[in-house]
Amino acid sequence: MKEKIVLSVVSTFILASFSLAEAQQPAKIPRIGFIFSSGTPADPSPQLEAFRLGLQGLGYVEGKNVLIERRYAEGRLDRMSPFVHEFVQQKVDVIMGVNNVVIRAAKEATKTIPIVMISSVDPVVAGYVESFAHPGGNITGLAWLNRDISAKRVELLKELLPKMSRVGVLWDADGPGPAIAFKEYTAAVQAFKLELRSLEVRGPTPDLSGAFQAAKTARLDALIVVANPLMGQHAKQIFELATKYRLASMTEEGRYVDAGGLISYGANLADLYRRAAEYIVEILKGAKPGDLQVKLPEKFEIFVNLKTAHQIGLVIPQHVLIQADKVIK
Amino acid sequence: MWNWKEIFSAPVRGGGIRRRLLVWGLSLFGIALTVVVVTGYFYTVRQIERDAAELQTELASVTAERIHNFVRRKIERFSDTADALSLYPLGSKEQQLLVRLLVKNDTSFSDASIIDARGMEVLKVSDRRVYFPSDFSDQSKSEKFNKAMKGEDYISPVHTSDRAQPYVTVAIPLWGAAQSIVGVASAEADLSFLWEVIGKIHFATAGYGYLVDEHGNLIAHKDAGLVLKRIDLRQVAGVKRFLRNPTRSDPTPAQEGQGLMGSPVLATYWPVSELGWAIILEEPLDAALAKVEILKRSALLLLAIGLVVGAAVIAWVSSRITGPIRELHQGAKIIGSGNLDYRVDIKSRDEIEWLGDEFNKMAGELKVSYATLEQKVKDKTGELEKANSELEQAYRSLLVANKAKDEFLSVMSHELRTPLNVIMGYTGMIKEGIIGNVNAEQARALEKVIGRSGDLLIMINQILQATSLEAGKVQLEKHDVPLKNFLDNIKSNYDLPMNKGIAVHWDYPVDSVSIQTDGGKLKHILQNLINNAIKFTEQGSVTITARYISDARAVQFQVKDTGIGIPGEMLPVIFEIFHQVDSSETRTYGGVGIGLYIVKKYTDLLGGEIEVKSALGEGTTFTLTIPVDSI
Repeated sequence: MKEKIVLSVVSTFILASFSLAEAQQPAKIPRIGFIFSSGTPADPSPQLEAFRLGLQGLGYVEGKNVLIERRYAEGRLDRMSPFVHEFVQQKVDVIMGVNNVVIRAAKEATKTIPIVMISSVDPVVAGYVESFAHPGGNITGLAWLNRDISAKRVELLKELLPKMSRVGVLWDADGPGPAIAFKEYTAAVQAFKLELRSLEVRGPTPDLSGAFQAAKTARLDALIVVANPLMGQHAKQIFELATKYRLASMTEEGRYVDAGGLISYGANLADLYRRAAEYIVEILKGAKPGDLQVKLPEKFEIFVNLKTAHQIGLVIPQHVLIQADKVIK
Repeated sequence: MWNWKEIFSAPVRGGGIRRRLLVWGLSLFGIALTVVVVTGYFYTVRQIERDAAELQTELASVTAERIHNFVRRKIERFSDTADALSLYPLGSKEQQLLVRLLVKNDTSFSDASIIDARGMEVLKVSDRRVYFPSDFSDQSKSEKFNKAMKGEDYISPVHTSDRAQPYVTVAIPLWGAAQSIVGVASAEADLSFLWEVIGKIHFATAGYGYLVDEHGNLIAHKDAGLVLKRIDLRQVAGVKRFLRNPTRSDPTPAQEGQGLMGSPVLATYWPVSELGWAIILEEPLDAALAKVEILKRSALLLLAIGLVVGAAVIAWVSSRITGPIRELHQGAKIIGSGNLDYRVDIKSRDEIEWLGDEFNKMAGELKVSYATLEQKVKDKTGELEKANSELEQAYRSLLVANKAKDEFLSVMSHELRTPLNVIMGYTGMIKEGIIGNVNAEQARALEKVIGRSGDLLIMINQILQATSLEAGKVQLEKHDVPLKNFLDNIKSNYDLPMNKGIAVHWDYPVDSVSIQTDGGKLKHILQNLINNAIKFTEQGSVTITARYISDARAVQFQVKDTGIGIPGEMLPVIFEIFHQVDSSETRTYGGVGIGLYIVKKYTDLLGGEIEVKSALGEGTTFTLTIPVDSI
């Protein structure tokens, strides 16, 4: 009799607890699709580390409550689209749009999987989003508007070489981003009333020697290298040639300066990838990508390679050095 | 588990302790629990509302402070830069470098310019675009230039770029020698930080915030598109209250009203000092009330669970109480049915267990007593049988004695009266001279003999009658007795002159009234009463009346004399056998005291009543009432 009473009471409380408490089911671990345009698993890019730190700072630790599906294009643009489709088939939770090839492929492959972009072009003009304030659709992220920065790079080059009159632009003719960038550089160079020479190369094995030979023939004063996976894959070779031909090289990313470029001016990519992690987290928490405003870079950096400058016989003006965020000696 | 049917169908007359405990206990417990839960619910609701208001106010205050500090730091940074700029000529390379460093190192400042005293831009720098001299413009009519030239720091209203970035234009005077203003430093301060701060505002389940300027225009919201739409917020509750009191904090935080999106919200505001802006915090009303709804459901569930648990506990307690009582009851029943070996097993460790122990002791003693009693009963039964046997023997003896008595009565009746009749007969013959002549004296002597013999005969007859009455041998012979004829007959016996000087009056109805009775017995009664009346009256009268009483359907006979009367102390025993008024040996009047005994017995046999009223020296009245259907 006593046992029956106790059993009834305990059962009642258990039922009440179940009715009040939410069902605890194991949460699904979200997956982020990340395509690296360059680098290898053994040598991951610093942007990845910034991205992971950004996630960690917001409570998402890789392997614990978030997974990063990594794919390495090794500079091959043609590999990126298949990777994107693979992500779509695997139904990853978010796709990182690290360059325009990935962004476009992802945009065409899925209308539901969120895409966080780091775009070098105006995303509205490129058709990725409806507006900065309200992207709509499934794409959002950061845009570092190369168009505006292009002129700044030319300006900086002019400060390094006040007598500069001819500038070459080395770019991957197969890349959609570089194509747009070339147009932007064309406008900028014209604004400074300089001559522009296009130096086009194509992957997977670009004729860099031929390009630099052409640069020599054109008697260029400086070279602007348009960053993209192909260029990144061959950065060392490019800047060895630039040094050889004593060409002042302006690049768009600091890592190119590490590879031997003379100077770079561009957005702090680590900061961009860290802020991209904020978008990822918002989306994983349920925010719609179309409601998340597209943001611009907050910080632009100047990297200077004094070693390269010395090798090409160039003295960097003090006021430029003062503005530099990183000086390689 | 529990036999609920048994519990609730227990007789109302007195059973069902368990049911009563359940009903009363549950009622009291239910009332108490309901009061507690309801009180707790309302208190908690008020607490929730208060906490919500406090939370909103605190959050608004902290956010406003943060925003104020951010903007103030930027202004101070810019001011520091302006101080440095003042050291160099307008438009110089040094100024250019300083301005570049400003926009480069402080991400909040994008475009910066130097304006000369005439209002012309002499220097313009950006970290993301190139300004050529052709881009320099005349700012002489701009508000920033004019205010700064008055020596005041200028902060413009918030505006947004074509890429939805919020900006304010700040302008600070450049001081030259002798406190003169030589130009103005201006910069665009990116307020994206505000949007991040605002966008991260999240409280309760769905609370959010936004920033408005002194005109109620939306400056920052997590949905940048709303800012660009420039919607009119003057009807929004929080904005309305802010515009009414732009410098004071919300006096009525967490009030209901229309929200930014048009839905009902709980809203509050907090002004951002110096800037004229305000933080507006809103929580959708349905989300705010959801907590109350959950609380209500939880309270109801708690109440239900509490009642169920309470009922279970009360049922268990009542079971603990009534169980042993029922055990006792069952035990009493079993023992009462004869099983004196049965013992109750109660282990409640309370008074009822003690009662159970005593009950068992009592049962044990009962068993012993019963065993003793059985023996006693056996003994007594033996005695009773013996007594019964003796009684039976005595009864048989009595029957024999009774029979002997009857035989005696019969014999004595004949043996006593026969010689007496012979005596009276021969005495009468002698007195009459039938056998020979007798002289007057002999005649008088013989008269006395005859008289006394007659008395003796009467006494013998009375004794025999009394004996017959005692033995229950007297039979009634009921017949129709016409009253008039009956009394005429009796009267005729007393029409002869008497030796005494008393008058005998008769008063009885002459109409036809009949009584269904034993006329013989009735006559005996009346004659006895009349004879006594005459006997005990020396002078005066004896009156005999008879009346029919229709109400009682009875006839009332009355014999009234003016004789010696009966003492009061004798009246109660006058009808008992062998009782006489004067029982001494030298009494004046003879008799053995049986006459009235026979009168009473005959009256009882006829179903009537007899009363006597008398006082010494004042006569006696006997009243006899005989029902018309006396038997």
